[in-house]
Amino acid sequence: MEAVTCFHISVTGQIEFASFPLGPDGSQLFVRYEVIAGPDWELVAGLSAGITQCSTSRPQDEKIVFNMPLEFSYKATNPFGWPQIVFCIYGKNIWGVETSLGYARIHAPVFGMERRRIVAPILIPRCANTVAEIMSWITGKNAELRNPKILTEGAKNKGLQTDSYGELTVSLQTISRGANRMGYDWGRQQSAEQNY
Amino acid sequence: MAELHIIGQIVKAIEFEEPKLFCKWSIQIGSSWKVVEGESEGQTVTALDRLEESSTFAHPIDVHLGTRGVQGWPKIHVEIFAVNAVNNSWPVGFGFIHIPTQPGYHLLEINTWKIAPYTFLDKLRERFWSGGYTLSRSDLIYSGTERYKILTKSSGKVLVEVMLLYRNFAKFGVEFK
Repeated sequence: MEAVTCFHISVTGQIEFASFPLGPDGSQLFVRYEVIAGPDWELVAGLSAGITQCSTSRPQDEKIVFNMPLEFSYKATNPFGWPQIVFCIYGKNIWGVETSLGYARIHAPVFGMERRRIVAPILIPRCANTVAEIMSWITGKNAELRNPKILTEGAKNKGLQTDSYGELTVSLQTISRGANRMGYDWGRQQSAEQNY
Repeated sequence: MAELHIIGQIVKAIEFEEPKLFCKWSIQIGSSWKVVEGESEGQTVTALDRLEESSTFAHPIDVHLGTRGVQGWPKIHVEIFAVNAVNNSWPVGFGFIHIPTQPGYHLLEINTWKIAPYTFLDKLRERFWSGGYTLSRSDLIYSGTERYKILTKSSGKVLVEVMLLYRNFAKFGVEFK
């Protein structure tokens, strides 16, 4: 019998909607997503990045629905570097200019055999100094991260100041192949509904 | 060697009096454990919420540990710092929690404490968010020794979400009850 050295995971789901308790800071919102996995992870099928349509909510409802499919399969030798998804949210401000409305980051579920709804908080980076803050207030353009991938690397976001406002609801499920044979213990499956 | 993967995030800090917070964290392990890959300590963003009294960090954790024995079970240690308008920072919450001994998804809640203000001037400083006491040794937070007669005050909560994946524990006869 050949030695098992790698396993596959396949993640499916969708970006359901964004919601802002006092309404979004812009209109015609869209989300750009990117899946970021560790160095020995290899994308075998699906898309690791994408952009949604520009969506607006109904007046009586704070939900901004995207209903955007997420489907990707990875091959890996080791769960370290488990795929994370970074969402960049953009929208048009009062001057009709496209600007960043924040970022969200999640891990793809490890125990997601049961369909799981993940509520990802949206973080908005704050301007580094007062002059930039005034300019941002006049032009309506928010501070952006040059490289949003730093959110997935714990060591690089020290010193960054953020505001949190709104959340992005994503539902994902994971199926794996070959991990049990490698000696991994996934425990008993439990439904994990986030409610914080 | 049995292995443990800790994948998750420091979600947020809630119920703190100060609005603008960041969190310094580390994973503390005994001598029979070692960190194989990943960052075992770090510092989150400095976060503020527009509406609620909470600070959302959504800070990723991905650590791969190896072990020769179950003694010195890993724990997460957190220190919450407050930042004021002139960018001074001081600690407002210390806490730790053991990693659950069960594979799967866990939402952990760490109740934290801080050093109580002692003199009237200290109370005033705390009241106006301009500083507080720190600990000279952070191992007091996660070890039970030498805590006698430290005056402390309860503080807010830190929420940590972890997904635990164990490997080869069954091979060495370790059971999850």
